[in-house]
Amino acid sequence: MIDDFNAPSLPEEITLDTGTGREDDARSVSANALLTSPMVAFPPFRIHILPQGAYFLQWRPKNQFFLRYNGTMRIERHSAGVTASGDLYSHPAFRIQGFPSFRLVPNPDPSPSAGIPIFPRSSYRYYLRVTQVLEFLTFGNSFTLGFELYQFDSASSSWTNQGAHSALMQFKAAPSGFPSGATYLEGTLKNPAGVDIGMLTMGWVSPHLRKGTLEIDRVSASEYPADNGAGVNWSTVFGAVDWDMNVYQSDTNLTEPSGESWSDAEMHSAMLARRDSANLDNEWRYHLLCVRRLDSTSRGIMYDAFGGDSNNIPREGAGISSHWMIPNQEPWGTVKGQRFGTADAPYFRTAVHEIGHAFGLYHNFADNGFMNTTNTIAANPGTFPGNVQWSFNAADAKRLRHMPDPWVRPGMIPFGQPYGSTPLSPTDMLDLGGPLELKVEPLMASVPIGAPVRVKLTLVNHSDSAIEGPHSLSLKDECVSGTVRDPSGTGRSFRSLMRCIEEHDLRVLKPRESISEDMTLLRGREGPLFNAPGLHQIDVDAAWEIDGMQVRVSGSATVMVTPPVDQSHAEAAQKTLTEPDLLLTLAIGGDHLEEGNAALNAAMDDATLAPHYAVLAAKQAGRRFGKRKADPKKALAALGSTPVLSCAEARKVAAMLKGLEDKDLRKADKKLAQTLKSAADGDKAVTKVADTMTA
Amino acid sequence: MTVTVEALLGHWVKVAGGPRAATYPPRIELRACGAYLAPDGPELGSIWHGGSWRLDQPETLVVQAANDAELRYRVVAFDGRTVTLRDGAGSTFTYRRDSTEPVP
Repeated sequence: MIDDFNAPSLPEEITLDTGTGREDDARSVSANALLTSPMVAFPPFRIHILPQGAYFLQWRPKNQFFLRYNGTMRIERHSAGVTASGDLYSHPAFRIQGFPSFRLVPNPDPSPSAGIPIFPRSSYRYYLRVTQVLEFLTFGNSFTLGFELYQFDSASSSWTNQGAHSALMQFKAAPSGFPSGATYLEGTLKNPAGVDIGMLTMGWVSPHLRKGTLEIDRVSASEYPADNGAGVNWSTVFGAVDWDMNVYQSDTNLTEPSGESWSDAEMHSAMLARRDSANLDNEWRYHLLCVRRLDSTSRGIMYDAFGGDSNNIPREGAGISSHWMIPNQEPWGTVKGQRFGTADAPYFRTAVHEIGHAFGLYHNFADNGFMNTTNTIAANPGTFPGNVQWSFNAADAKRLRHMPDPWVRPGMIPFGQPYGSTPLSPTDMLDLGGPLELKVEPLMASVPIGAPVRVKLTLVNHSDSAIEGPHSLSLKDECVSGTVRDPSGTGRSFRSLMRCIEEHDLRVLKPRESISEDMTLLRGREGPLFNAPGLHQIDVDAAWEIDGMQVRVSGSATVMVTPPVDQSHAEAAQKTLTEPDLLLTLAIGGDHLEEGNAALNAAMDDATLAPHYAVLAAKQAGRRFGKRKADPKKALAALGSTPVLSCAEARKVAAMLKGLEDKDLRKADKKLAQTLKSAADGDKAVTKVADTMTA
Repeated sequence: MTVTVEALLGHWVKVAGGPRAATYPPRIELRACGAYLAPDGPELGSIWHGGSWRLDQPETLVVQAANDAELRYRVVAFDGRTVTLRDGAGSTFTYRRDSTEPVP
């Protein structure tokens, strides 16, 4: 131990603000802090997040000089956190240069500056079903990436789960070739047995998740499906699912091979003959034909499937018809009687729908999105096409972002495979890292129905760095909110009752420091939070901003709500659960809250609920309101002998009773003194009051 | 028994068919509005997922396939409780009315 007398000569004393506002605290740390504490990184704080986008992904297997795997990792950020997925293709480090030299030459990796890399279909090997990733941000320099590695068998279009792999990914400076400032990480990849199997790297290359080309050719009599006539076009459609899609019109004068109606085979031939490029190993190219009529259907078809896939390269193209006549009757709404190509909205929708099939998407009747069928949408409520939803259903959007490459890119998995046969990353990630912990600790493991639930929140900084944290965890400061899930799974939210006008500065949480707050939960926006017997889960979020970046830390706990013990309890609980103003009585108090006070009185009249509301009743009596004076004697009586109270409430009670004479305090039940001491956990003011009671 | 639209409405379960009939879903519902639903279709990779259906004469069931092709099936047998269909490749398969579901 180093004390002031033996310490080396120090510069002029530096007073550290410990946040307690007490001078002696500041002096007592001034000598030791510089000598014994780690240097506080204050500021700048190093914050790392995983930006949304595509990352060039590489796995260099251990002890395999000639082989590596290249691909992409897709990071999608959304309201629930992060969804991530990846694909890997084999990439020999060397290739054979042909005639006349036949020698090995280096096979360079794709240049990250070129954006999302495209690899030959025959090289495809693995899908990474990501189960663990950095969801929010880290103040550290690493996080654990966890994924199931699925090996692909191209002969059978099937997958084999190689098991859970993981890598501790560390943020590093990106090598040259990556976009300026790109996020870059490296880590040792471990197999399910924990064995090191090589190095995994990933570096950001694009804000999009996937990229492709859509070429649209047409006969001259058919319209080009540019948009829906109301601002939705190819760019917005693909932008909404994070695809970088180059959509363009090429040939506008295709010859009709046999009259105005085309067979599947004729469309397929025209695609092969007229498309601008056919190298599906260099780009994901899709093709759309706009013709007057179709042999095998009315409006549109993804002909490159089943028997229509004459070259066994599936899902390259689709076709739509411009000259189908929309029936002049319901349910065709505002477009009835029109020629299809002149009805912008349904014509464009069909074009997107058919290309959706080329991506491997099936019909989806969950909403009126792109993959529902035109007939079904027209028959659904609303006036067609005004009832069209101009987006992909969320499940289809996820497939477009995260299904394995072979499913989505043209020329690999045939159309018609079961969705269930293919792995897909879960939407919710598991984030076990992070230096901040939010503990949620109910005061009691079980409470009777009708009682409020008291919870202690503690935000802990487990790291070796100082971190800016919220001013407090009080519900009043608005950084805390949460949800209570009842036994049926129904969630009810809670947050600050009142908007705080004052903005509070952040406070610095030193290394290993924590802040705590007690809160009492009773009602939320949707009503009573604990309205049924059974196990309830309390999920709490603390959220604040550091330099414009959102920080969120979550914690949860459970509490058991026990059923009514008798008729009196049942009736009192019914009042406390159904009276909204009881929350105001709890939060602000006041004689004017008649309904809230009536519910409080009903609780105090019941032996089971009274201890849980005793502090509230004591506060009512112990506070002045209008012309009524505070009555600490009545407050003391309201407490009874064993009130349920948090540490903060115990301190408030002690402050409230301070004005009482010792002889009045000694009239209190001796059990109350013990209860106060237990709740206050050594607080001097509470201990003093309690000791007076027992003196 | 003559096959009519009204007689085909409702829920059907597949009860017979050769190996090639595996492409057809185990359950299908034909609705009065001209829509059908095969809820297992996408997960099983069936050729029918959902879409439109109609009855063409003579006794031909037209069903919108998963890729939007309108596939034609000859009704080779129908007695009100079962219907046997033949597809373009010559495969036959039979659906029986699902008695646990109400007939619309």
